[in-house]
Amino acid sequence: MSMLTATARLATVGPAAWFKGLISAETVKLRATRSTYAMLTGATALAVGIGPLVAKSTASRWPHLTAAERAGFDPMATTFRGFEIAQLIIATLGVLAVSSEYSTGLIRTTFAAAPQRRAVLAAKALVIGAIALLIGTALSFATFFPTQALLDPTGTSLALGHPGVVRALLAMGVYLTAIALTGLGLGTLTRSTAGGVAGLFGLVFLVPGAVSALPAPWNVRIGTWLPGDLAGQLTGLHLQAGALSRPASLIVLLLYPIVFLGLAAIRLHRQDA
Amino acid sequence: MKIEVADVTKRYGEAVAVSGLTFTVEPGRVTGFLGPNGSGKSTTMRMILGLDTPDRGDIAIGGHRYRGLVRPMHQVGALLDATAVHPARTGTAHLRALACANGIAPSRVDALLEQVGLGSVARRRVGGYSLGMKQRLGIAGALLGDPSVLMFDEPVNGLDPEGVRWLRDLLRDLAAEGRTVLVSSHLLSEMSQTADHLIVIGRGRLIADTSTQDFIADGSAARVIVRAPYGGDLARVLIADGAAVEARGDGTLAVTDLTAARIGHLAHEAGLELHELRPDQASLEEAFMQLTADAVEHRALAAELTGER
Repeated sequence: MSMLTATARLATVGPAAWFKGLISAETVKLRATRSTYAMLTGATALAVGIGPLVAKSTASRWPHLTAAERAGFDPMATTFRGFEIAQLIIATLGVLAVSSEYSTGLIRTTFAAAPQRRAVLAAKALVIGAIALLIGTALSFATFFPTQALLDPTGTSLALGHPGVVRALLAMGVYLTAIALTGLGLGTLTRSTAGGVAGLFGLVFLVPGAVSALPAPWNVRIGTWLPGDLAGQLTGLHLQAGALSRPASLIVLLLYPIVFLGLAAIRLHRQDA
Repeated sequence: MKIEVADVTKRYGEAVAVSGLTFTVEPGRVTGFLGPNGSGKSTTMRMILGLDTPDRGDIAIGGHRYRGLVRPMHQVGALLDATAVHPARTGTAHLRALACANGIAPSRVDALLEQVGLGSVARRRVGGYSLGMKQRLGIAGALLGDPSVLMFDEPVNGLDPEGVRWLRDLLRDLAAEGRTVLVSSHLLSEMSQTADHLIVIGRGRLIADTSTQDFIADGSAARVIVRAPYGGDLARVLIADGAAVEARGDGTLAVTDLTAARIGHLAHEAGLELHELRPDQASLEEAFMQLTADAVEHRALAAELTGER
């Protein structure tokens, strides 16, 4: 029997159909990998679990809180308490989308199958971005309702119709998308899972610590440009003193994936795979 | 379509992996890419696939650079490293991702998995595959796009004897269909049974670009094994003709400095019966090692003399 009875014909392919093929390839990879589901489950459990837990404990402590403590309480921030950890998992999904290909050597097969490396990166970014936006926004809303319900006894709970709430919930989806794409960029630049995750960890947790130790006003000026702070600025119902305007904070947030993916694209194109 | 490698040099830092390498791989025959480990075979194959960029020189497939090809699997199929798979994905998923990127129907994936003998494990995770199964998976991947150029890096590794025979038949069939087939190996014995043509490199330099037959004929002067009922008489005849003869424990003679043809002729003239007359495969391998090792030493010496490096 001949190995090649079936013929795979090369039709002249338009750029749209060609790029769609790259997107389906990345979708197949992500869906066929068990860790994808494990990570999304973990992120969901943390995001949807922690917010309501904190709300419940706050509600039970509420009668013992001072007036100042009550005044400082932020029901929106409580919703997102679990997202601090969940964001790392979602961003790691972005890192792994490329770093797992470097660690297994699969990246060479990928680039042999599609030598237009920047287009492959763009396809990965679209797939990861779409998942992060979808899951992130869903988690945001899914956490909001139980958290606020449990805060009901405190009288601080927010309704969906409260000014700024929907914007804040959508903004968290956008933030998670930006951080996942930053992870993809870092994974491509470092070509390693450990390197990419370490980069993320540094960006989200270590750099803010270091910046807060800077002398004023630099601690605030630089601090407002860091991803974690931008998340607070975008999802807060009220603008804090010294914060960027909302459009400005959105632009600065989007600069992170743009810069890291841009550098990654340059490196991919120029260097040996 | 030909693979044309023209004056290609590749350095990694200080180390020169490939140096001034020029050769052409022609369609319609199996070309063996032969050289010891670390001689630059894999580097060259990576450069052919556009994965690594040469520091100097040019590589074209059918007149095009690989990185300019759109959906290249229809023109070039390659297996570089069978173990470069994501262990958590199934064989089907691995191939389907490649098929998607090249606009190949999923039905083709299933058919090929069946044809390479992985039909029953197609939906198992690749992490559980043996090396031989991964080789078959990689070969299926190379064949997905029905390409006219095929390239395999050490595909025999991990295959069982039945798999090796299957692969040899496959390579010959592919070449017989007019395709360009380049297969690398570090073992001459293996290539001598599969390849019609050999490109031999040592330390990144071309050593030979010749038919397998000629390469072996040159090398076989090294040693010939003879089995004859009157070994002593034959040995005297051969020694008289200038050969060095060594009696081996198994009753055969190892003859150096005479060709197999000359030995047969002398035995015939002396009226001596022969039961076996063959070039010593082990000595062929030695000659090949010697050849590549010489190339290395000469180059090192030349470099020293000219103050290179």
